[in-house]
Amino acid sequence: MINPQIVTEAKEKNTKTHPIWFKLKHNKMTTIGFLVLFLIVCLAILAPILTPYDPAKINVAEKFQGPSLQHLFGTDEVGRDILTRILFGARLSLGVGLLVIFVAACIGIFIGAVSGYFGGIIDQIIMRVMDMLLAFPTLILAMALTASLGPSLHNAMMAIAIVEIPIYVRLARSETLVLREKLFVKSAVVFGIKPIPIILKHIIPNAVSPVIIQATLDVGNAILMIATLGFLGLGAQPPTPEWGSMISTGWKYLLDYWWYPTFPGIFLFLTSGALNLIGDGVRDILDPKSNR
Amino acid sequence: MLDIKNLSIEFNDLNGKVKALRNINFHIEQGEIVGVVGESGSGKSVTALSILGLLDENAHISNGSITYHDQNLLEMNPKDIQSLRGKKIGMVFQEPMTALHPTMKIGQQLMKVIRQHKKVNKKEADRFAIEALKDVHIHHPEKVAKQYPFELSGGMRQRVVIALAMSSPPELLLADEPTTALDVTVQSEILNLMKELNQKRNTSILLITHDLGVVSQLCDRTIVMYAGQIVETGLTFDVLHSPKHPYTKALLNSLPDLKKQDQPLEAIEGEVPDLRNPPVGCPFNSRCKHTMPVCHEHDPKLEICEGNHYVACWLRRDKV
Amino acid sequence: MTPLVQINHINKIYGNRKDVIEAVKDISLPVYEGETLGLVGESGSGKSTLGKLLIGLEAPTSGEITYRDKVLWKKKRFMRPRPGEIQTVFQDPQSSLDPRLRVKQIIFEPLSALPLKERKEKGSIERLHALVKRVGLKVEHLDRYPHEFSGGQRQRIAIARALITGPSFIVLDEPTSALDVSVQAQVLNLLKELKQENQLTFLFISHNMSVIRYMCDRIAVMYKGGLVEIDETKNVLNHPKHDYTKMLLSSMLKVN
Ligand SMILES: Nc1ncnc2c1ncn2[C@@H]1O[C@H](COP(=O)(O)OP(=O)(O)OP(=O)(O)O)[C@@H](O)[C@H]1O
Ligand SMILES: Nc1ncnc2c1ncn2[C@@H]1O[C@H](COP(=O)(O)OP(=O)(O)OP(=O)(O)O)[C@@H](O)[C@H]1O
Ligand SMILES: [Mg+2]
Ligand SMILES: [Mg+2]
Repeated sequence: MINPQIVTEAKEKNTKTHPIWFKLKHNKMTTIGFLVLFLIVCLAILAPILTPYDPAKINVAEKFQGPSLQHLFGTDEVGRDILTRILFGARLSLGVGLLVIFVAACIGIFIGAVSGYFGGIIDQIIMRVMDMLLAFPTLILAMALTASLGPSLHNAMMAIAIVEIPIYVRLARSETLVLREKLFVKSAVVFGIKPIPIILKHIIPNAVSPVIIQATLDVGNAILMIATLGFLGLGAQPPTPEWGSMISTGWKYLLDYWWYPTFPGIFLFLTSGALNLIGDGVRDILDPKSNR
Repeated sequence: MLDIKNLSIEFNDLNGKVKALRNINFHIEQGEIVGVVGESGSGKSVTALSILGLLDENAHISNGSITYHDQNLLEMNPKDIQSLRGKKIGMVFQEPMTALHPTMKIGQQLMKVIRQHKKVNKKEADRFAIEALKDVHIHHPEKVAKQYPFELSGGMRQRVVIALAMSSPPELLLADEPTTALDVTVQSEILNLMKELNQKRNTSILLITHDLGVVSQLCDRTIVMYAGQIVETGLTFDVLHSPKHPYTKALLNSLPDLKKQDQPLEAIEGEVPDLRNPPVGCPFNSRCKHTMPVCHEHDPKLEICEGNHYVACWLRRDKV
Repeated sequence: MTPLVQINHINKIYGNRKDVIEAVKDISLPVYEGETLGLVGESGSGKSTLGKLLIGLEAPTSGEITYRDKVLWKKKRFMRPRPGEIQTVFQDPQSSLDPRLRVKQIIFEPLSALPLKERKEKGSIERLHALVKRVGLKVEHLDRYPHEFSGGQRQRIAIARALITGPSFIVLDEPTSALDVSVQAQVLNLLKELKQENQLTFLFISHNMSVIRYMCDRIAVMYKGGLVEIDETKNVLNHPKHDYTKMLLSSMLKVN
């Protein structure tokens, strides 16, 4: 008898993905994730309007002030307003997270589509390289890459993009393996259209939905990784307001000035948590088997 | 055994509501083979999918009930339906590729299903899988078991889906155009297989097809659908030999069977009505050769014309 | 009559050393200019594979195919005669149209392989509108997406797409078997008329004998990868020689 699971799996693979967005609306946790993220994005965008302070301006006279009405989250070791730095840090974290994942997804989907479409030796070489990259834990690989490239925000971004690429390559490749057997792709071959235009016109547009979903899942990770690299001194360099490096500096003062590392930590937690909730909701729908 | 009452189903899509089924009534008895024919898009597949609760997300059942052995399937919880689907009701899907996992070998897919129903080890399951492929007359079943769906010919894929559905015989089999991609010799083998299943195990079959030849060979009763409604139903012999609805007549006329090569086929002029805003009156009124004023005003009800033969047409009404 | 396509001792073997599948075995046949050659046979007998060899989707393992006396396959390379000269319509109208493109883009797609001058010539809006109307669609359909159409309408879109380049030879792989009979009748009539108007040559793959009889001048019968019979339609139907053909004819279901 027809196996309902295979049928649903196959259906997922074969139908368009628009019902996913439809289903998302019904998931409570995901809705919470969306709300939190929305709030943080608003704060980040409106940062210059919301606070009167400059995130980089040193004012030693006001250093280490506790939370008060002037400085809601207190000030740091050179008297900068921590809330201001968190809000500007949100711009950086979200911006960098999105950019890194966007770049990784674009490159990954193209490589994956090429790999899956051509198959054969090209595919084998590409997949070997990707397997190699995937064999390392992503964070360690990113740390090693940044360390060898030299600590800076740019290099950290590049390293994270590189470690994220294989995920997209795999995803796009498995979509491509299904798509390349579709008759509209075969038809294009019959018309005499060359492989790369076929990939750009038919394969990628039809493989893009699952990649977008994977990307929402990964933005949170990327933000965490940027922060971790920042924490280790490998990412953004001072005085850039970056959550990771704020936590790292604040850490030293935790016992005397608890607010310093705590508030950036809370924001980091909220942001990556919200993104993960959204991502999880999306994944549950995409892949019903993984209902843990 | 299965009783569908006043079933209406709508799909919400970007451009509005598609009224895919409007007030469908029919039943299937134990051991009966019922054929469903009709224009493409008339709601045949939707009917079958609704029985199994496999409709797309955007479907909305606006009215009616589907009763299976005194249980209303529409009110059952998804888990019970899932187990019904696994054990009592089997389905052969119209589009074989949707029912097959695109990147899993045929043999594995069959084994997975077999092992869900029978407690057997891998080796035995493998043997059953090969056996099942043999049953649907696939040459070299051992080779085919190692292939992926895209490597099979259209007809072979369809037979694999049939093998999946038959690998543990259901009580009710919903077969959505099971033989369309098959040549006549294999088709007749498959039809025999279904007949055998029907006779030996008393399996009821709902057979959706657009091949009137298949219907005439296999089905006890026939339902003719048009634009989301049943327009005619009765014993197969009666429906095919003394069709009462103009659509059924036109359908029979458009068969290439009896035509000479140099005559064009008698296609039905015009298009199926748009189910987003179905026409007022009879759904067939824009293509019918016998329209009367009443056809544009009121929708004819399905009414008895003789014996077990029902038809929804104003013409009948006048004569009776 | 001159053969437009000549197939000589073609073989197609799938698979690796251990599990070989001989999909096409030593087939030789001509397709004459202007005819409709019907290809029937058991499911899995290699009909679609033979079609794929002609349209450049699969390379033959051995043998030769010529098109207007030019070799089609040199080693594993398809020597496309002229882009758009050989066209195809597949069976499954669901998957043969890209769901993300509008009908207009779909119909115009084959033109993008043509040289610029020809592309301009053939891609004029007037020509598009005429073609769309000719296959029984409406001009306002051009901006819609495939999922908004029924099976029959999609097949019309696929036919328009095949005709836009002005081909001479079209391989039709079960173009109507996913359609119901009344729509099938419309599409078959359309194909027949279009063939007359444009002096086309068809290779018409089908398993439906009554469709084949209605459409074809000659019939080739395949069985387990080989060609077992080829002759004029009436001869094959009235005096079948091979056992499989006899079986095929005797198991035709009639609405009786
Ligand atoms: N998910 C959906 N969203 C919107 N409309 C749908 C959806 N699924 C089906 N429909 C519409 O419902 C109607 C009935 O479709 P159905 O698939 O039942 O037709 P059918 O009788 O099986 O036709 P065919 O012979 O082509 O298989 C069609 O008009 C179709 O467009
Ligand atoms: N890509 C492939 N890889 C391996 N085997 C293949 C591949 N494509 C086709 N085959 C095999 O070749 C044989 C012939 O297939 P083909 O699709 O030509 O049959 P067909 O005559 O068109 O059948 P149908 O009427 O069912 O469409 C089958 O045994 C099939 O499994
Ligand atoms: Mg259907
Ligand atoms: Mg085929």
